[in-house]
Amino acid sequence: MKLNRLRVNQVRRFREPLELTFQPGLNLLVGPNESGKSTLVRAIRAAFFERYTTTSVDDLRPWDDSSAAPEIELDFEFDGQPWRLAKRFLVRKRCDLRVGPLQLTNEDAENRLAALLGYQYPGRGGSRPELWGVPGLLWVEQGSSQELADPVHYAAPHLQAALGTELDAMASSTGDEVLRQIALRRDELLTGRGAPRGDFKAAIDAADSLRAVCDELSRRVEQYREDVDRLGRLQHEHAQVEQGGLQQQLQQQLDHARERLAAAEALGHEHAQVIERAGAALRERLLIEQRLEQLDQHDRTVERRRADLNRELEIHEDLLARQAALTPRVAQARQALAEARALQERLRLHQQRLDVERQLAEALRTTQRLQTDLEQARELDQTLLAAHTELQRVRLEETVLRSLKEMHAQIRELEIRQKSAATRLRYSLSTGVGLDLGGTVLSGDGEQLLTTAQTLFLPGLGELTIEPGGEDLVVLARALEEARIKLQAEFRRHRVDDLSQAESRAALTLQRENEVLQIRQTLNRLAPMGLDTLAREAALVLDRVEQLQARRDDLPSAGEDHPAVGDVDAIAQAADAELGQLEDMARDLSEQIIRSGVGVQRTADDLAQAEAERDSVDRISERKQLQQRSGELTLALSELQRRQALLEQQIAAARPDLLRQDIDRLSRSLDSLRHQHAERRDSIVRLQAALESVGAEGLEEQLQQRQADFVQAERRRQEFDTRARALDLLHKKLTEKRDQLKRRLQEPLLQRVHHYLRVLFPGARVSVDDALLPLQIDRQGDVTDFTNLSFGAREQLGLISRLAYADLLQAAGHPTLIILDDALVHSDRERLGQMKRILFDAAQRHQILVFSCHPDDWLDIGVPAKSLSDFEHTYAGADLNHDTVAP
Amino acid sequence: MPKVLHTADWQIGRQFESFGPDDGPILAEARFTAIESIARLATERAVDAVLVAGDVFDAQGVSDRTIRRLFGSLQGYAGHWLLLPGNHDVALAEGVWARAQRLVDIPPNVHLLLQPVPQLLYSGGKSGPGIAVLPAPLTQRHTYDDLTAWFDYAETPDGWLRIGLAHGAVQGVLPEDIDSANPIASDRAVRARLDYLALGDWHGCLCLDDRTWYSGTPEPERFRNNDAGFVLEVDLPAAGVVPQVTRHRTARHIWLSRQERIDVPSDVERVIADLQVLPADSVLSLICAGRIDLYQHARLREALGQAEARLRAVRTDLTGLRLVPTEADLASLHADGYLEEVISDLRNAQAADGDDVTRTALVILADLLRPASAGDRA
Repeated sequence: MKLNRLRVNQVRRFREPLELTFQPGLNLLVGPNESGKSTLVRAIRAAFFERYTTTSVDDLRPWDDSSAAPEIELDFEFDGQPWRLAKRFLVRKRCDLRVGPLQLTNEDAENRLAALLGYQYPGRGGSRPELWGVPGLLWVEQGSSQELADPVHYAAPHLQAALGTELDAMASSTGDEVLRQIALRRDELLTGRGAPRGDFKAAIDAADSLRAVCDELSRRVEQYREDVDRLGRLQHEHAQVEQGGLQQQLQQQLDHARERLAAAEALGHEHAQVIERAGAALRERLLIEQRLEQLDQHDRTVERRRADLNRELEIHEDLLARQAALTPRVAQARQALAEARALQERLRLHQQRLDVERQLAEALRTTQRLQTDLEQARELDQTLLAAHTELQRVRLEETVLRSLKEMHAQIRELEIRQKSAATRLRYSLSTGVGLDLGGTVLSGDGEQLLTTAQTLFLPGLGELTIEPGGEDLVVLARALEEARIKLQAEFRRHRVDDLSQAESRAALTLQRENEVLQIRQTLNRLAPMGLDTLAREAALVLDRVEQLQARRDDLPSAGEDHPAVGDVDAIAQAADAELGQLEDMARDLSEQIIRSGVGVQRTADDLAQAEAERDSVDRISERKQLQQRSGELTLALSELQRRQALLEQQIAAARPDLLRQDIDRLSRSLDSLRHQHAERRDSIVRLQAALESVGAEGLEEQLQQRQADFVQAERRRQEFDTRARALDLLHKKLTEKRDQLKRRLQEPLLQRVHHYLRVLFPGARVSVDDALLPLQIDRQGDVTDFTNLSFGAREQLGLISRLAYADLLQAAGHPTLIILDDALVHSDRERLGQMKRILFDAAQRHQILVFSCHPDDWLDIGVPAKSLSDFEHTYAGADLNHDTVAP
Repeated sequence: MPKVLHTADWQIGRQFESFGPDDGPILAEARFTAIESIARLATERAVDAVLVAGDVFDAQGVSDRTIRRLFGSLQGYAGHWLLLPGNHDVALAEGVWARAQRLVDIPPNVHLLLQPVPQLLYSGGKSGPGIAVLPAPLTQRHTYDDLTAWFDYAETPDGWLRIGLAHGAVQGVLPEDIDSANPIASDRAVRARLDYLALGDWHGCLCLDDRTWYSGTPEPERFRNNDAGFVLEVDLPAAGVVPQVTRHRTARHIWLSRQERIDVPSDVERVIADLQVLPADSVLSLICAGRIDLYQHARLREALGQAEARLRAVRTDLTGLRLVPTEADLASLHADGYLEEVISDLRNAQAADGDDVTRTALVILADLLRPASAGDRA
């Protein structure tokens, strides 16, 4: 489609007719704001979209001319034919359309146009965007090129048709609805992940729970059957026991065994009696034998006692003989002992005398030594006294000497100081001449120190008093005087004349002290406790000597010839021991003799008594009776032993131990049989009761019902399962096919979009949604939603999309005219540059009208810009009547 | 002339819950109804006794209520009821019979034949010959011996009719899938000089020889086309004379088992036509296998839906059918674009192995795409 000419009259600011002509491809119309660009765009839209009859186009009139009849006239070419549309609104409303030779008016004309361009008219009132169809998409109003969703939606049927034509009607007319229905039904049964839900899940749960119920019932039925079988068995056994008489049989065996045991036990009883009687006989015979033995024993005792008596008498005699022999030996021993004792005494006294003599010699030695010491000590004591006296006379202490020396040194010092401070009087007198100075006569040459005022008598001349100057000299002189007086006093106190004498006295004192010390030490050694003690000691020793001499004279001397003391002691001891032994023996013997005598007497008495007994009459008859009874008992015993052996044989044959075991065994068996029987009866009763109660539940009937329920539930589950899987399969397949189809459908559109997009974003890919709207743009992996793009980018992509749609529509034989009113005002210079390349490219296929108030932006678009004012100027006043325009 | 009714396999207490809460109780109830009609028939025909040849109860563990109801159902006939334990209701130490004796005050005309001893009955009016019934009750859970062996030596009064009453499989005669394992000699009637041998266990009515019959169950209870649903009226003129046996139908429900092969549309037509003529008291099991297109599938389902509403109970198994849509199916679905591709995939999968899931998927799609009934194109 190519728009050739536009003429407006009495439209808004164009009160006068204005005519524009257009070129194929790009047309750039520029003009400042308010210059009428929008009016022209509005005029084109109104010419197509608004019904000529509408009253809703007041805005087309010039603002102050309410009677104006806005007129719009358009010439265009399509499909090789010229089209002319002329429309007048509000006043003398009219619409004329000429298509080649065909003339259409009013509604016919409008419908023809709508069909051609793909838009709709409103039922009444002004046109609305939702009716604009394809032109709504391709004619971009000021500042709305980024708004794509609504225009695409309104143009959708045409776009789909354009795509569909290319794809040979692959799209399904009902597919999406079917898919929606399938999805709904699938979602009723399955979750997104394919897990059962809703009725399907309920059916599964129901089947599972019924299965569990059936299993439990089956188990109980089986249990019931087993119990019934057990009951049958028990009843059978019970009846068998009742009928079989096993119990009676056992009872009979038991009774029989008991009888035999009783018989065996009777034999045993008799056996015991026989044994008892034999025992009694044996015991009696034993007693008789014992009694006989006793009697024999008695006889033997008499003989023995006589022998005893004889022996005892013999012993007694022997003892008496031994006593007689012992007596002289004792007397001898006593004598020997007395002699040994006397000799011992003598020797003891002799020993004492020797002792005293030894002590006396010692005492004499001591007396001698002490006398010597005493004399020496006394002499020394005298010497010490003299030395002491001498010491006292000469004593001068070392300290005193030191003090004297100090005082002397002090005086010396004072004298030197006086001499130095004194007035020196030097003189040289002629020989023979003497001068008296204070009593001292001066002669020859000399020197005199004057410390005090001196008067020098000059003979013949009078006196010369010399007074040494200065107070010091006076003080010194006084101190010297005092010191000298003090020293003299000390000398006097210590009875010395001068210092040298004092020194010799001090040395003498030291010597004397040493002498005293030596004497003292010697004295101390001789008489440590003092002289008196020593003297007393000497007197005591002397006394002792005298005593010892007295004692020695008292003691006898044994003479020279006497035995040794040790030998005498040994003899005495031996004698004493022998005597002791002999005396013990004598004592023993007399005791033995006494005892022996008593024993002899007693034995003699016993013997007499026993002999009397033995010879008594009773004793003889008793012996005879006893011997007879013993013979009887021996006979009876042999009879009893025979009987016993017989009984033992019989008892062994009867085996009572086995019989007892039999009885025990049979009793136990019988007991256990009875017990079993009773238990079985109890079990039967219990089992019957249990079975009755279970039986009343009608388990198998329940089971059948439940199994039927289960089969139904299982069938329902199966149905749901199949249906769910079928729906899932359908859903998957439909979605898959639809996606495939969608990709194929979108492919031509995407090709066109990418054709343009390459210029703006090299390498970028765009995806579109079902409504063919751009969804995302992928710029080297950087994926952005269309809605999140910047305003400028959306504007650019919006325009690119429109160009792509235009390509598609054109390919489908649809007329395309693109009008951009102040588009791309949000694009930066660089993007705008690329967009201009894109527009130039698109203009090779489509006519594009660009209205702009920024002529500078479009200088490089490749076509000259036309200014609206130029047109106004050119055509102002031109009387262009649309009626005169030739077709 | 002595006359008895011979019946067996009542299977009282059997549950039919698998037919759903609506039909199940009715099928269970029908068993009692059958007993009541037998009682009525016995009274009408003035028989001397009703012989029940085992499996009176379906299980040992039926409910107390079921036991009470059974004995209640017997009240319609005042003559002798001879009830024999079968393999389902073996006379064990404890079980349904012991419970019955505790629960119910069993009337004197009802005889529980729990021991293998002759039961002596006088025929009507005591004019004709007496009837000696020789029962062979099952008293073990598993019996492998012929319990009727003792009939051979059983003493009965001279001139009395000898009737054997037993439950088990006559050897060499019945199919192998018979219930119980206990065998019965095929010549028992002859060897034991029986005038009639009333048998139970085989649920169909079956004559083995002129004196040996299985009466079958009076009300069928499973899908086995074996002529069930009768009770036998046995006229016994005299000892040694061949009895006269008459079949009386007692069944309320017809149990049908159909296995249909579907390959072409006319097969479907045939099945549908068959469904439409079935009596309302039918209990139907229908198993279809083969190939079917969407259209016929929808028709079949619709017909089955109608049958389910009309018949007592219908159990269908269409899993053997491969759902293979035809071009016409697809055209009628107006499936285009990717939807058509999906349908095509599913169709190929069905043609290859006919699994449940893809078939169901096809059906779901078809239902979605064509909400109107399948009759559109007819």
